[in-house]
Amino acid sequence: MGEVEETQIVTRARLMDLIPGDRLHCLELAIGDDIERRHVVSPLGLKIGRTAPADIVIADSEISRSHCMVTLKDGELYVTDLNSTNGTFVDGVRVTGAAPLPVGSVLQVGKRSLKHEWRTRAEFEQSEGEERDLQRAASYVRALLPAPRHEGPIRADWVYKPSAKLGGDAFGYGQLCEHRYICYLIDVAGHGAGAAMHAVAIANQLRQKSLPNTDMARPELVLSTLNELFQMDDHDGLYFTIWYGVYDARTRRLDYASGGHHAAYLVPPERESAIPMRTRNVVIGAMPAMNFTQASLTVPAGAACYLFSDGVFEIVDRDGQQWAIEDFVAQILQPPAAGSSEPQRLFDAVSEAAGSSRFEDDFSLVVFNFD
Amino acid sequence: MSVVITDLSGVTKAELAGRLDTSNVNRVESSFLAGIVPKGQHTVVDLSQVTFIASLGIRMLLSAARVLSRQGARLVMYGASPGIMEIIETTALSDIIPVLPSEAAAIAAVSG
Repeated sequence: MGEVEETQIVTRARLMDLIPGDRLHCLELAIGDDIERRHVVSPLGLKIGRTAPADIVIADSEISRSHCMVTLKDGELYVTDLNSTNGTFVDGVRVTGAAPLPVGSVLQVGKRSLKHEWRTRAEFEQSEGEERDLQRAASYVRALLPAPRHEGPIRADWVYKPSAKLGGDAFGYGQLCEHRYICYLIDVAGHGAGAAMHAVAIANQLRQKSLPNTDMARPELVLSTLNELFQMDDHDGLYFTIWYGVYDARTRRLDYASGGHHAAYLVPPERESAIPMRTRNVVIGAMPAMNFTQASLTVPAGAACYLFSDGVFEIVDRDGQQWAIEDFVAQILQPPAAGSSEPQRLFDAVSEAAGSSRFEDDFSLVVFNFD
Repeated sequence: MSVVITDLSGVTKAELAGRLDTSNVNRVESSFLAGIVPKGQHTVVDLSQVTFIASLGIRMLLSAARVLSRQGARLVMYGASPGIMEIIETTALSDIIPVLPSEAAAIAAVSG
């Protein structure tokens, strides 16, 4: 993976060297107002498509494998559709032949838009630096996540896909004592390296399995202590939501508490229903001295538990409909897919519904399977 | 996404409209806070035209409530649709910022 990334950087650097002058023609792929990726158009041109070897690969089912070609001629950009199924558009007008793509215009392919900007080299290099910082922060978060567990009384597997802007998700699980296991997922409000580093600070506290004067086997106390430790005024206005659970393997009891977080779901082995597990508590860090509550249930043999961040279901589907958590729960109850892990099956299902595998927010999903 | 601030004889009214998603919050947060915080008076927030609130939207509302509370002023909201109410309930935001059914009830709540 590291080698591939390095190769891309080297290739891009050489392409930049081919371009005379102080300014670069860039195609900027955006999510909302945020730039997800910036591509420089060199005299060699750029092919856009759904799969490699296109130069700009966009995972969108409405984009053809080889969708269109952008070329640079006499200092101007032109786009040519490559007989794509759904067409190529410039500012809403379908392209036939080689159409001009003026500075400031928007190239539309599938559901995605790329804006043509004419950037100075300094601007381009600065954004490259910021992108690298986000990638480093994402790697750091990923390094803190526990390895999947395929053996033992509780197996765990997960998918973590940070968004381009990097959200503030982190999660963990492990053994608290001989018969007790803990798991948690936190989601810091906001995006960028700041939110991610705050998530890392909280996750590092929880990884120690110890908080000041707190019984870590009591979820309500854990949330209460975190609320005092991480007040938003002391942490750059950042607050977070959390789901925290403690499973006792002797009694099969799962104690849990959520602070501003939506439910995790317990799915009994017959997979006919998903039981929401949530307690009504305020988000962590919003206000000191709040009371927190916990709840518990007995885990049936062979059950599964689904713990996830809101980035998993807060999507807008292909029909433009805003999803609610129920839409994702309906996906949970679909049968497992052969040859695909359960978290991966659900990631694929949400990507299919959204028509893209790039989301606005981090996608974090952990699935536990109980003996 | 828009924010309109008016004064109802001593109570600030903030009308939000549209999706309070991440990019929109970045756009309206400063005008929202600049419109209500310096006045330092009780504030009612009209959510009836809001269609979605992401976590940064919750943060914007929390920040306003906390700053006003330090100045001895209250902030309440009203007009939340069932979908918005669900988001508010998930975060238990209404434990900190009360949600009232109507503008009249909201004004009564802060004035009482």
